[in-house]
Amino acid sequence: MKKLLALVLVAIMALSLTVSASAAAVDKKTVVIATAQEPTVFFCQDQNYSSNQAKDSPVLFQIYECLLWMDEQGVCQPWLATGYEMSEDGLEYVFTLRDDVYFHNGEKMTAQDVAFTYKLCMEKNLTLTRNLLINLADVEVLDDTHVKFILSEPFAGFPAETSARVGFIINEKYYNEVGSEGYNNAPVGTGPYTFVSRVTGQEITLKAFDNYWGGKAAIETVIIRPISNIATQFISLRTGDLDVINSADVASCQQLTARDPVTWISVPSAMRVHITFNMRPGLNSPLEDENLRKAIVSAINKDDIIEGVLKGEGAPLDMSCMPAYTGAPEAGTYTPSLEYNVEKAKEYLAASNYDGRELRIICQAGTNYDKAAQIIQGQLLAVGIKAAVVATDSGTFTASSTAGDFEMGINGTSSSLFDWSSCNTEYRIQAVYGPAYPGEYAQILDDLCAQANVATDPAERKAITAQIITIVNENAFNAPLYNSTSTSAFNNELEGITLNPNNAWRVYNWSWK
Amino acid sequence: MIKYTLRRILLMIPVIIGITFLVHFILMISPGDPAQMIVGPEATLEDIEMKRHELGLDQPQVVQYLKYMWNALHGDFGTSWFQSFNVMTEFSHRLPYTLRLGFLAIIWAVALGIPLGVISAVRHNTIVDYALTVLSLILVSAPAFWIGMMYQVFFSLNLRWLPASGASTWRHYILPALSLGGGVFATNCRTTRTWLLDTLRSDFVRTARAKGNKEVTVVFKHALRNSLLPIITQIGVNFSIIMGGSVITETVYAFPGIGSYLINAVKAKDVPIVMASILVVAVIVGITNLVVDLMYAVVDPRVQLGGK
Repeated sequence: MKKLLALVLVAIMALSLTVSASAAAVDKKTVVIATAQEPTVFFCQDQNYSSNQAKDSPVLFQIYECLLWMDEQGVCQPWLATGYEMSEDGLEYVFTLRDDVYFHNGEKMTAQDVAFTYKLCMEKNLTLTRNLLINLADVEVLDDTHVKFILSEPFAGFPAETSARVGFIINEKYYNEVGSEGYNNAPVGTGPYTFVSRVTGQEITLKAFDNYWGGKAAIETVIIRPISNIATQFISLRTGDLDVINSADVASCQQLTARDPVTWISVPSAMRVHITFNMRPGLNSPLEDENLRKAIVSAINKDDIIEGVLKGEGAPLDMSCMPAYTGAPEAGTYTPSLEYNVEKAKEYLAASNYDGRELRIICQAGTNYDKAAQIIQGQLLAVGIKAAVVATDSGTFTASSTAGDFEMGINGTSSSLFDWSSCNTEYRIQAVYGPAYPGEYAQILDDLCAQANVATDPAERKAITAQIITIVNENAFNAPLYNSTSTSAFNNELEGITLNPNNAWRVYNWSWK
Repeated sequence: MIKYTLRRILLMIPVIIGITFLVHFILMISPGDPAQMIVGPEATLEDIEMKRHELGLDQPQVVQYLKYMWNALHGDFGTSWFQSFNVMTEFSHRLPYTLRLGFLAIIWAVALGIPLGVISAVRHNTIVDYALTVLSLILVSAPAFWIGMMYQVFFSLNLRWLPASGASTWRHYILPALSLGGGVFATNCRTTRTWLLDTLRSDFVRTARAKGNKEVTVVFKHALRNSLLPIITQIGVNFSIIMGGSVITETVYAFPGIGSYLINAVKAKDVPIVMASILVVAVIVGITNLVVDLMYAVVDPRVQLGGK
């Protein structure tokens, strides 16, 4: 028995020597990035591509480029286009293109490729066109470096449209050779990294593009791995198996210590989180009662929610729109949502027709909205409102939302365009379920949103959006909660990592110390 | 035996039809419209209806099911609704990972579980027996994801011996296989101990000892062989448990098998992936159970397959 034990111990020691530590020395030419969801679609003009596929961004923003780039502040900067000019009536935009850009297949980028990209999307993906290429009617090639976009109606957020995923420029010649499926399997863009391989479920490999117009990237190889488990992500980061965690969990980041060879950064994201009240006509919802809605809004302590959900990293919102969105109203020009005040909440509740019934708060299970809903449940109970958290999978959540089978719903809304237009989904009359607001307000808000969409004068547009927010907040039509964050944890030997509101970072800017 | 095997294979057909129909039915009646989820939040009713038509969701459920099964019979498992991948291609890539992991987990769980179960039985009510009982209880009662994370913390983070995620080298298989096989090891250990203890008290074992056989011969040749039938049954059941458990283990270790693929598909209501996963798992489990039944005759000559 003793001999056997000794043999086992020797074997274990030998194994420990052969397998060695997995924290390998840092390869200064490679970076390994973890994402919670696997990027799967690499061709955005395809008919199946929808605007909510942000999971693909870590790959797409390395391979492709747009005419403009949205920077860390959400401001559009020149990129494949050196600039643009808008006609006086706001119906035409002429973009001037760089003359030194090549695709990964060696073809030079021309205005024809740009026009082809947008026309293909308009032809194949009507949903995406309607929502991310708002009012775009046609694209004309003026010469090799100039392209004209023609809108059916003015839209102030149009320049931002050319910085979103739908505006990734593709190569016409290559597309004609391989088609949508071929493009998706082996994408060709103008970005600093070329696509090498995809092993589904395991990793996606990219290599630095030698002929990149900005010069070859410092990091030669990028490996993107799907790892959904948060604990696994952070263990792998601390052991050196990973270099970067994209969209890192804030609570886990805060548990990192000075001894860990990793650090993290967090910036405000384009995501706003709010409570939708069900007031759809014909459903006889208790939330049609204005005093009950005001009682709920007044009972909510946003700071507690931010602390509980994001460990203090988010920012409270006083309107259901991001202040940094283009076209968002300036502070002081609109009535903010009701402040947290328990006494006032009780007064509103006493004045309401609330009958003590349990109000359902729907949200997606296992998300931050689920955590927020549980905190809100406690806050509402403190003023005498009973609430039940109904946390479900995304399919059930969508079904309940569409059917109006809820009293309150917590959700986040983002904007690829970082523009007021994303608020249209909240304030306009929706095709799927009709008006969301009582009485004449549904039409008033819809008309104002339509005006905001076509207003080309920034001041005029902000005045209209201030009017919308004021109506919504004075009637407590929703409860704005907080602005979420984009967070990334990474090996502290890496430098140059920055985040932007849409989590569209570029490895091109990174390097090892 | 050939006749018996053929009959069992034929019996698997209605079982698989029943399972797949049930899964298809549950998917169809569960809340959430895949078409609406695919086209995104800004889609109009027309967009949703177009997508429903494209996916065939506007047809009666039985028609959808029959079309799926007809295509599956011809080797066409369809294309993922959300990822645009061909499901068959994806399976041919992922299934070997799950099978390798499952076999590794079974192999170590059986190779250690049965001998340790024998030791536990032979030395029952000693410190060795108590230690193995405690270990088995921990492994069988602790959640698989927790055990998995503990292994990661200990072997990956603290000792730096093994990687915490991925599947690119043999080292990546060790921790997932240990996690996945933990419960099976414990069950094998306890089952072997229980049945062997019972057998060791039998008259024929007493006779074997009285005849002057060595204790090793008595235990392994006479007692263990007579205890193997329930243990083999247990191994067959364990394989089904392993296939189910791979969903959690593969998620914890970011392992690219069909378990992690299935869990994401269920969340997204990606019917072609869910159906294909269930179909494949049902066939594998069916074949495993058949092999287990055939092994009865090998282990115990008294067992005659085919009803004689």
